[in-house]
Amino acid sequence: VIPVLGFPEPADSESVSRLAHRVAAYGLSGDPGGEQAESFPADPLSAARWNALVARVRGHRIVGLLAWAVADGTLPTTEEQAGEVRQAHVEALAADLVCERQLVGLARLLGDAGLDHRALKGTAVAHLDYPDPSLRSFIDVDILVRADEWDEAIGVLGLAGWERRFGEPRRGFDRRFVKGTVLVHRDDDRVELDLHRTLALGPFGLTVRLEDLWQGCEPVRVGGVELRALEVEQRYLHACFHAVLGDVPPRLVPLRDLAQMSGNAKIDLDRVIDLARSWQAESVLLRAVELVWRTFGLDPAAETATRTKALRPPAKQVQALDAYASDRRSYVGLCLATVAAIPRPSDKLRYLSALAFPARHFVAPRYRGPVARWQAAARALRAVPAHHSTGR
Amino acid sequence: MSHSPAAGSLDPGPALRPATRWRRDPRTLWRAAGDTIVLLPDGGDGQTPLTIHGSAALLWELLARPVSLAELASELAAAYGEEAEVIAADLAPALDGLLAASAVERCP
Repeated sequence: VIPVLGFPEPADSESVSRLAHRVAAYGLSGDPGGEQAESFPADPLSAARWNALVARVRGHRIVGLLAWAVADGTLPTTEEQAGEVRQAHVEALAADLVCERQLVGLARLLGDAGLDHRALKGTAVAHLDYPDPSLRSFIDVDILVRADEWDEAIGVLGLAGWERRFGEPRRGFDRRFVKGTVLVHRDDDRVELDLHRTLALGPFGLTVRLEDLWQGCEPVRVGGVELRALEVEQRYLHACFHAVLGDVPPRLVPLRDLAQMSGNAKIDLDRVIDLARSWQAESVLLRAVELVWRTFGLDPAAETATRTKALRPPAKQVQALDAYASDRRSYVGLCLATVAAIPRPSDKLRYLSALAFPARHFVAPRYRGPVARWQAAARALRAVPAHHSTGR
Repeated sequence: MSHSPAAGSLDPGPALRPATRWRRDPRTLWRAAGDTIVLLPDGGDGQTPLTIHGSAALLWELLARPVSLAELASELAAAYGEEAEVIAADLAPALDGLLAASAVERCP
């Protein structure tokens, strides 16, 4: 962007966005200070651009990578800027540890109640997939429990003070249909617990073979406690889900997770592809790898890129993916795509009727009033036949 | 983090007893950010991380394995070009402070 007539350049410009992408890719080459140095500016950024970069980096939760690039001298800064990024990193790490402390306590709580569980995303990925966990920050606690122990888990957590942020539309709905639910502690709502029963919301969450998630695990020792994480291939697919089924546009942190894991010699690519096929998620794997390779400019000849490029996902998978990733993404659209993925007609009816006629405690925090709720229900019900016929 | 032995006490305090060995409490969560270590011990209110800097960060690194005050003082003296006795005098209150915060423990 060229400043005109002395006006300051737009701080949050395309160039800042590109720089944030370079920060997110920092260290992937294995020679961060050398190979990538050319792609960073030669001089410290102006205050406006620096502030925009820091804001963007915080939003994408990649402060650790920015701190690394600055500490290496690859991204030149003023002394003040360097101090600011050090402080931002310390703050991010302090928040990580608070979440991690909650995770350790929750894992102990669930374990003592005899409930199997897996640590997902943040802590697990930071410790298992990054060379240093201080490079990967997170803002909540993610735990997977068995779908058939869902109600017990909610009960045990409830006795310990953890309450749902939102109620379920009908009793038993969450255990059957949703990705999970958010809970907060009644005495301190700073840390959110994202309790999962599957790995994604919507149709792709329903086609994950949940039994696969419990056949193995990778231990990770945190705070003197051995936690269980998903196996690396499952973590990889979960990161794919996070990257392309989550925020639109995607955050950089799940993309970096994928790029980071792609360089892990422990990953069995055949197993990743088999799992994706088994979970009817080849389109997710293909799109996630394409996105990561394009975003970070990774080597197109790499085995991960060439193997996934050869995938030919069925049209119905591609169509289901559009419900998440297109500009038309909406809650109703995802609900309809979910209906198509529910195998049994009786469950389709149960799902739709729960959303159309939800319990009062579900309606109150979400809709302005009964009219708004009925409008939403009518929209959902009107559109069912067209999507129903796609039958994932 | 300054809990010196009580004046006039015959016991020099846990940090100064020659046989005492120290290590990180395995329940302490921590991360490194350059020469700053962010710690979250398990205990007390448990939700307020602490930060230690510079020489204390090197001390934290050395506490990865059980180590005596004399060994710590010797290592740090070599790193900073100081007399081990001078370092040891500074170390005792630091270790007591980390112990009070439940960040470190004395080994059996």
